[in-house]
Amino acid sequence: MTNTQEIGKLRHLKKLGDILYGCIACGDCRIAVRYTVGRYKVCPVLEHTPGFEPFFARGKMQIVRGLIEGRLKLSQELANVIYQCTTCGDCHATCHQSMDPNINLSIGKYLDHTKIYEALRADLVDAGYGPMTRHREILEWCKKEHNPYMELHKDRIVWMPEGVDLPSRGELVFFMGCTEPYRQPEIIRKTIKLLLSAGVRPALIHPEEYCCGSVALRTGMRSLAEELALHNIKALQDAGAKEVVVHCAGCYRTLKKDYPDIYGKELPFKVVHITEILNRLLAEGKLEFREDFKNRKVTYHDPCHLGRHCDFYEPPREIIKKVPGLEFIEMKRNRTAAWCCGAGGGVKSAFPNLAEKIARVRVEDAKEVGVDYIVTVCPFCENNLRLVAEKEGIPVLDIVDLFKI
Amino acid sequence: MSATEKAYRELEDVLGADYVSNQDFVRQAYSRNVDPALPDRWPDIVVRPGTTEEVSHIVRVANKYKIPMVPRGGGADLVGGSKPIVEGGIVIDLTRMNRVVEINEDVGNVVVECGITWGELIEFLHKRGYTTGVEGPGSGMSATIGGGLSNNTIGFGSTKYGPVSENCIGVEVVLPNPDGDVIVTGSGSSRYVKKPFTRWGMGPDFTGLFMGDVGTMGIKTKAVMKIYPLPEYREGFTFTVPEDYEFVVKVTHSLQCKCSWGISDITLTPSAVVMLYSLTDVIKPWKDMLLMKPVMLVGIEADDERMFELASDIVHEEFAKPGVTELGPTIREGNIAEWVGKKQGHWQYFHGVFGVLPGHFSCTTCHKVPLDQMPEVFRTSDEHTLQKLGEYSSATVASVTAAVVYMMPRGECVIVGGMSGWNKPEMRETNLKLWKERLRFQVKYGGVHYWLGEVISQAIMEANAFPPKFTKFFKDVKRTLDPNFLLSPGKFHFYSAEEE
Repeated sequence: MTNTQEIGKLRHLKKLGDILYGCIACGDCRIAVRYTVGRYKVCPVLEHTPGFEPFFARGKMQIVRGLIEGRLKLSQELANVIYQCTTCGDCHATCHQSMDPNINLSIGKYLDHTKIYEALRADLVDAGYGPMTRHREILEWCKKEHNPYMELHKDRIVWMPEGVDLPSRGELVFFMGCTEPYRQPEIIRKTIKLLLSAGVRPALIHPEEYCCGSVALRTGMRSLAEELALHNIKALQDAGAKEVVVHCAGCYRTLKKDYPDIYGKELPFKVVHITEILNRLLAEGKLEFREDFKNRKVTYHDPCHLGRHCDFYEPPREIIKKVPGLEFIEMKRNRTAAWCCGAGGGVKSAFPNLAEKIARVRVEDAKEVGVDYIVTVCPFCENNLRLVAEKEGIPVLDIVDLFKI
Repeated sequence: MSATEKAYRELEDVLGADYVSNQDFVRQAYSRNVDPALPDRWPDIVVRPGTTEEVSHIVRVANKYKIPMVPRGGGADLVGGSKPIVEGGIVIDLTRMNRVVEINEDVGNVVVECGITWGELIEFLHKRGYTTGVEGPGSGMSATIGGGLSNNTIGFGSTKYGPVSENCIGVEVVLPNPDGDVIVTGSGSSRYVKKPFTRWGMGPDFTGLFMGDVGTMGIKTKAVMKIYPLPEYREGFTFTVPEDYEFVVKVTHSLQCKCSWGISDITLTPSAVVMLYSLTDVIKPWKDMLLMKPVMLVGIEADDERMFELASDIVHEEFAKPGVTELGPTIREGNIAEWVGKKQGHWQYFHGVFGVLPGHFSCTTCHKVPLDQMPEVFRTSDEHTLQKLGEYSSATVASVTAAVVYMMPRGECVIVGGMSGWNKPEMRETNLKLWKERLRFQVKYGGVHYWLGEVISQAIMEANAFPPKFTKFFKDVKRTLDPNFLLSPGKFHFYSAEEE
């Protein structure tokens, strides 16, 4: 229950307690280069800005401290900088991280930058400075039609292949998300066809499936996010879900990591990523790969929401490495040190030019290793990388594009 | 219009609006460094120059309006050296100046802008088969070359190559005088020298004037650093050793006599810190083996396999003594020296003691003493800690004489230590008082600090370390370079040209 007295008084930041003082201000989050462990710089935003401290993690932490200690006030100018962050979590991935499983530096264990940025954004929303105008438009629509794409809720399943009829209840539920149904219908269509071809018939809970709430959470609209999350949890529970399959990396992070926090206890179902299911079906010999990749090279882009946020790195790689004739090459920045595509944290909608500049850097990473394709598993990353990559002659594929359907 | 406003406009005219800021949240972000004791002090203006000419312009504007300036590199100063000491002023963030200007392989040096980080430079050099020898301080992933030189810092590699400033053969400096004069030191000071190649021979060592000056004598914009061929063979060993500082002194002396050419690093982690790492799971293998004894790391390097094997044999013979156990060979088996060397863990080796509790970190007291005095320093420091225990615990301060002892060439060692304090506003004044007491105590037993920033430079003066004639000489030099005393006022308690 929101205490209205507390609104505007940094209630979200204050809930985080002493971790707000966890940053010692060493500044490794500025530009750390530690090539022996694949670390080449940190903040994807910094190099496209004037570069003052507030544009990377240490400055933001000092600002948070200044706010908490009463020396600084929230403002629109501050909000404009705080929202120029993809919340990719690369600062967290370099902050007192030893890059060796045998060594656990203390601060790296508890300092969660993304959580602090999201709390600061929520306080900016409380104070009327956030989110950005475009976010507000999107989220107003989301309240009404349950998606951030200015589309009608009833159209969420217009992608459904003709003749396919999926149940609305079941132990295995496919959570569609918003981006694929409204913006990449061919991907969700292929995904469902693939599952059906392997004898898996998931349920869809439409019209009860709403936006997962990721956009609202990342931009500080916490109350809307909570409404959406609680609605979806109830709908999934009512549908008898025991396992919820998610394709979109943003939805996966939200269901897997944020929903239990919002729900306040363990979810009544398990959240799994589509690549886990596809690996399972591959092992059972129920899926086949396309055969037109012979002598081609591919790399994999780790979506931040899946990789750094959920420590989920290997299942997509396991699939790619099994494709006959396709040579897999890692980009120099991968896994915990992967460069963000630039689209996350509301940057794509509020600062599209910045998002494209960051994508250009990531595509350069791919060009450097001389690949023919970039594969990823996040529709958001796919859209943003595609803007740049396809001009460079590098198609961006979704993982399901590797399969014969 | 105030002087600060006029200065802002004149800075904006030359640097461009993007690189000059007086926004409140930007000023807050530049208001402190890495300590739990000093108050936040906002600059009036923060600038990010991109060229030496722009730095010179900033200096001229500051002199015109009598505005203090503080140069800043990576900003991880542990003793308050790269944020305002007096209220207001201009913070000059030099991190835009981060280019490698040229590499002179034939004379073994690299010319860089001082805002480049150690991490960037080391990657650049390693790819070309070179190293700087000592590869930067504990914050080297983001610390700059300029900061390392200003703080006369040490780092892994220093057991063989000394402090970073001994590896610098010249600098380009913007002097803080009203004209913002730009000079070059070392052989580069001669108009006839085609490329810099030596620090000496052009009169006094003026390069030295800007080494360890903690940003009080000039603003370094370029540096010429020695480079060495990257050793083909590098290895690290980890030993648990007896609880006996005399043993450590003897083994260090002996290793440096027999194998100074091959020993790149020798460190000691005292048992109290080993216990902390074991109990808090910082080093998991040490926790698994319930390690409680002091630990020594030894790094060796060689260009040739035979020399490498010889160095390895010398190290193992030296440690083949009762009470010594070698850990390893893998990191999983406790050989942390492998992480330090192979995964560039050297830039994080001191981070294990930071933030064991959220919000607690170090009031740093790193200083050098002759190696043979180390046992006595530990004894007297531990006594001092015991005497102060009541005050420390009421202030949530815990004192560690040494998190690590780092061995230097020629019989000196660095006691890398500090006092862990809680970074809450209500605690900072007490933390500062106890910190300065500890520093004065160290100055008085003959400890020589190196990064001095605000707190240590002031503690040296408060302890009356310098005879009056030396202080006068120091101030006269400062006055010659900085007649308005605008660069880093407050360090060494120097505030103006007039006051004594």
